Amino acid sequence: MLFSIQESVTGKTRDRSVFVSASAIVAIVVILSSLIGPFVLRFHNGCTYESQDVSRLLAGPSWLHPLGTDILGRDLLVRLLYGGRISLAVGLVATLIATAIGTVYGAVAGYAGSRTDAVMMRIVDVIYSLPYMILVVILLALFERSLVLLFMAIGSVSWLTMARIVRGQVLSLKNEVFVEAARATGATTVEILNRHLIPNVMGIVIAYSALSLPAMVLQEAFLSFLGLGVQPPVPSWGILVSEGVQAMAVQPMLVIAPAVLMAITLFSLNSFGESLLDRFDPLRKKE
Amino acid sequence: MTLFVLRRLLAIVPMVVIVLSITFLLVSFAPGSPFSRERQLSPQVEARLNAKYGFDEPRWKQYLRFMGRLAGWTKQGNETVWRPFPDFGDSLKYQDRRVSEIIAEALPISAILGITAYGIAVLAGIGAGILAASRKGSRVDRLVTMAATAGVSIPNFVLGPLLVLLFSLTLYVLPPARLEWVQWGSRKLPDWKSLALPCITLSAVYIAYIARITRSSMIEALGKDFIRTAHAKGASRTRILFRHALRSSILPVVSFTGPALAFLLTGTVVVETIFAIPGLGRYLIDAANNRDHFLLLGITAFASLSLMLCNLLVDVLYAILDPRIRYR
Repeated sequence: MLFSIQESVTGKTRDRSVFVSASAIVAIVVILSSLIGPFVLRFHNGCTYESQDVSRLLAGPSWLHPLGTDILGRDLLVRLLYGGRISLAVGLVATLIATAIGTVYGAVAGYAGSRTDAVMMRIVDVIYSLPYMILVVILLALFERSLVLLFMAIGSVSWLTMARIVRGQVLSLKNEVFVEAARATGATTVEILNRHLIPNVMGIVIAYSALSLPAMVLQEAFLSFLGLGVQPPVPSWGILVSEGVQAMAVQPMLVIAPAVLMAITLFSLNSFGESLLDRFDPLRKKE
Repeated sequence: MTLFVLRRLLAIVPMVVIVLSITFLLVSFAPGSPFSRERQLSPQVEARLNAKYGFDEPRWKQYLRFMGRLAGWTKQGNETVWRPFPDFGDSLKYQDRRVSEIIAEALPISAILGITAYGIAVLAGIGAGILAASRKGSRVDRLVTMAATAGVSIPNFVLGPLLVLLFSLTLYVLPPARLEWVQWGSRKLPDWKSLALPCITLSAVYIAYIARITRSSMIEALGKDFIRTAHAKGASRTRILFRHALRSSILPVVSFTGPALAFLLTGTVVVETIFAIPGLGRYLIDAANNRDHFLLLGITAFASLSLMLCNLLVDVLYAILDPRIRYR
């Protein structure tokens, strides 16, 4: 995954913690406003993501429509916030799918060891080297486009990195004394995995899934931009950018607003994820 | 080494077969037919078309026929002849055009785009990384790291439109779309002006990544003992940076270029869409949308093959750069 190759953001520690809290706050603000914002705007101007104000097409920012309207007279701010809901929800669900599959697969492979491990990781290697994006594009272009298919497509490949990480961790953990002790007390394999190994890798799993959230949001946006993801009139950030491109010569706000919001969100989610990773990944060097 | 390359080359064959089989499976179970147009075809015509391309046969037969054609067997009249190159068949949408023709036309365009962007990314990324690492903690360093983090967060389909907005629709200095060609001696080359925006759009993310990776591994290398030795010997600053530190810290960059190539490939899909460039990526999406089965399979075969070859190239480069790595 592109986002697993991350380096630290700034040099100094104090600078850093301010920076990290700032990015966490920005991310929370974006998430909350996309949850609450559409309701508030409903009271303000009565717009939903698909209601049209035919008297104001491609209008600039005004009190009624804070960010203006698009080519069909739909309120841009409402669409932006509603699109945030969709984009973040897709990202979240795909991340959860990937994390669940990856953790279980990696833990089983790492704990089983020997031949099972070799076969399971070989399968991961093979899937890894498939040109996955091409297959996803083909899958989504050929079949009926639905959110479920989108989740499956994004989630089904993103678990690979997670599986590798968890396997590595479990491999180093399974010979520790406490696992030995558990085995001596007669705990079953499932119990050992559940009670001892998975809780111990949880920190790094959470950190990596925090980092893969922006990556998933990005993929959803990429697919929607190509017209293969979320289907209009439901907005997502990718759709808003692609619609904005059509009308950008007339109303640049239509592409600037989603672009800026998306960049800010991804930026803050990324730096937040990285700070978690710095804390939980024993392999990462402290600068 | 030679043995390693040969083995890896052989391993590519089953991988491509797997990819094509998955694609074939998807294609043959997808709803819709390549012959559905706005105007309904009469059942007889459709049946004839299906028979012509073999779509009336059971799927396994179609699959075998397709794979056979890829291996070089073609039907001429009633005889099956073997020729030493793959046959991708005809395009179903673009009448009277063979898939190989379309690929031959679109590939150079995508390749020019990709290679230029790749070159820009490597040069600018490594340059910025060295600059930042050599002045660690300075204002330049902070600027580079901030710009790199920002660059990673701005996806290419967002950056592209913003660049068009700035350079084409506000400043009027660069064309907003399409690739223009200029005559240069006996060959036609793309005009740099029309190439500028697509290439910057495509390379921005990689510049950012490569700069970050270069910076951190350079900083690590600069703290090692052999750098102090070089200083003690009286080697110049430039020599230490480029000969001693860069050599040992370039490996992470090289290993990043593997996944980067894959993303470059999907990046071209976006960039070709934004800038209306008729390259492979654009044809891939169109072929899938049009149910142009043979074109889709042909492009998939080509794209996955080139991806795997590039990955192999990266591995070989890795071994050349790091004498400690030996492949067997």
